[in-house]
Amino acid sequence: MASPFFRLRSPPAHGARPPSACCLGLLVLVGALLLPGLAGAQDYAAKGFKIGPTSPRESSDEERAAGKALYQDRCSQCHGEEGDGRGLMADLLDPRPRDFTRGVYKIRRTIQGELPTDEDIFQIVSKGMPGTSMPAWQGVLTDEQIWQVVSYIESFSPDFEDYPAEEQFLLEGRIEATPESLARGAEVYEKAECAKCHGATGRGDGPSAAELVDEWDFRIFPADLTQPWTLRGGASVDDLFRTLTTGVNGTPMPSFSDAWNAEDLWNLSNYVHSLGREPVWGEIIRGPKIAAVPTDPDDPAWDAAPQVDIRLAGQIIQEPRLFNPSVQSLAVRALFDDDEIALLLIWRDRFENDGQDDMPADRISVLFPARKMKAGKKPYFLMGDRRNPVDSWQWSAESGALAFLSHGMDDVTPSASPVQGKSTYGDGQYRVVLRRRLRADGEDEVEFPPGDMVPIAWNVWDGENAEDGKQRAVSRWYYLLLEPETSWTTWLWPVFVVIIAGGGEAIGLRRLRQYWASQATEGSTPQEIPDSQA
Amino acid sequence: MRRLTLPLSILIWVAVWAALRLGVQPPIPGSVMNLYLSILTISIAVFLVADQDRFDAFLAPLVSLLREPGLAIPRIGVLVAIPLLLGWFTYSGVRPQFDPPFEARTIHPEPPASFKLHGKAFDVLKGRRPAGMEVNEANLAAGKAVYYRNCMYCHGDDLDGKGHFANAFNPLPANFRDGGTISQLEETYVYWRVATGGPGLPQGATPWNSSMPVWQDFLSDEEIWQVVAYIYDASGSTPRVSEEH
Repeated sequence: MASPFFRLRSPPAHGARPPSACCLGLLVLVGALLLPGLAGAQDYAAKGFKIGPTSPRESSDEERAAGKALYQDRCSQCHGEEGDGRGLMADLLDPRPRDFTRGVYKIRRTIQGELPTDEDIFQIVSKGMPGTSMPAWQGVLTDEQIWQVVSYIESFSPDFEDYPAEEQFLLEGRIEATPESLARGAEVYEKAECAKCHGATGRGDGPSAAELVDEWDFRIFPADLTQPWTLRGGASVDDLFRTLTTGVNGTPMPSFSDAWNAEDLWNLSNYVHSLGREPVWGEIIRGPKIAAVPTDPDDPAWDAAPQVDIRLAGQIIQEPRLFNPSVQSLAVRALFDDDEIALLLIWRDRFENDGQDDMPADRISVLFPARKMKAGKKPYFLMGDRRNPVDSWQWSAESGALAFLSHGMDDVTPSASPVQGKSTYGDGQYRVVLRRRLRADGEDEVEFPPGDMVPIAWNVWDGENAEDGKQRAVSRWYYLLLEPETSWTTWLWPVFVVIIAGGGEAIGLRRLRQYWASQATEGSTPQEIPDSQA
Repeated sequence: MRRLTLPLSILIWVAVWAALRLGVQPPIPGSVMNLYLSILTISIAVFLVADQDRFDAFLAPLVSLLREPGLAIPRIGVLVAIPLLLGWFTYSGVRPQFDPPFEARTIHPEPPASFKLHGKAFDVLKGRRPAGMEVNEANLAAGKAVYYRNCMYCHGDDLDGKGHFANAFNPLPANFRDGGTISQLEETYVYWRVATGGPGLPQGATPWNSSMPVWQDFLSDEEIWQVVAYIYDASGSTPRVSEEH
């Protein structure tokens, strides 16, 4: 159905310039004359898209000069003094800072290949791009200052003068996310071959995911639709509809407004929105007690344990550093029984690397202080320190569950800690269960007395991203709490209070009734308790 | 009006409580709030009992609730609800609670008199910017490059502590634009903090949590002086200067 706009790893199909406004302006002109198949505004309108004219802002030399000063101060570090995206640390960022000289912008309301509107750039500068190092400038700069920056940014590319976008999609007509709309959206997801890149469940792990590159020939990965907090252009249904309608210039993400009508894309937006979930960032992983801990990652018994999402950062504290970790969060659950503790670790990994493909194997480590420490004290969060060792449980796609004792990242030795593991991989996601006895069998092994706050941290390696050794994603210390069952003595006080209060009420009411009865027989005056006689 | 004595009393109590609770900034401390509410309750009670008719009117709805044959269902409801509510309050007071241990953290710990940097001792109290490391355009430009290739991932490209890795760490990276951070400190102190990082912190500052790298492992003495100059300049702060006596 949808034409495969994405390119596989290959040199750019066109010349030095991307298909920016200049080429596209020509194409549209030629297309309008010769090729009735190419869409114009009236074709979009016929398919139910609301199209309107753009309203370009007039900007003055003074405004651009003010914008230039702000740009040099705030933006040039990443985007370069010349706007070419070659700032001081451009090579350490992924995605790289935008090159403004080429006029290729990802997030727009204009037709694919065209320049964005002034308002589009204003919005991105204001709100930033989630999942990248582009921050939201709203609150730091005033609206007036952002407009000044926008006018200066546009001056990097002559296309804004020569081929400004004249039409834009108005993003009106949203459809309610009814079950019918979601079912229809799922159909469109299948027929438009979204799964080819984004995967059957939306984790960005489709069959083509390994081969995608952007306009600049840098490797690029399909968005993980299940993590809406990482979507560059925002994750509301309106944002998704805009991305589906106009595509993402410079990337393999095409515009679907040529092949589909507005209703289809609203349904698809609703469906994609339904694939995502809200993250639950937490400080404490609470593990309830059950009869017997599950050994399988897909056991429904895990539903009894609340899930906590953990943020990860690149290990940029010791050399060799990792500035762009591919796993940026993981989800954790914990359960325990009389004998054992079990942890369920879930993280997105688009490609399975088991060590047999010239890449390092995918791995995850769970870290605990190896010795009981004074409350509030912990080993150094990067695998411990000289005095305070860390008991680390590792699961590797190559060799399964292992245990190590470490005194820092440079001093790691295998340990006898009897950790068992079981994993599943599917749809771009690892699910790993790690189990061990609650009590330590040997020296320098962590213990889990229920009710204790045990420090816990994680390290994750993605083999596809060549992560190995110190190059890994790391977390800080969190707490793991195995929740003891409530003792029956806890209930004594509340029950005692209920009995006393109820008894007091009964006695008081009885005395009152006796009093009322005596008053009635003595024929007392009614005005003392006026309403009761009514 | 007399028939509304009870509801009005309750309404006045709730209105004063809401005004104190929501209308006063900063919030009133709990013990003071309890004091105010006690005075309020006593005032209303004194007003009610000062006049027999008024007190009877206040009690009338309560008496009828307990006495009227037609109000049996609300009566039973209230009589059952009160002990259960008290029981629930008791339960929330005595049930086991699990809170993470309190971590007392000194934000700006006392620096050591001197520390080793690349093998040489540096005096934090008497040390000075070395010759050639003056705050000038060349050193600021060099410091900017050091900052953006090393620091911005956590401390943010606006120096506000909101870099894209910031949320993964605790304590959060320092916000240099905040008046409580580098502008409270002497330059040599910041130089010490950058050079020795989290592992160089004394015990009270929870060095096991800090993700600040030991920058002398990556940067030369000159680069550290340059980046210290840059973060003061770019965040619009000035280092604290100890007075000569």
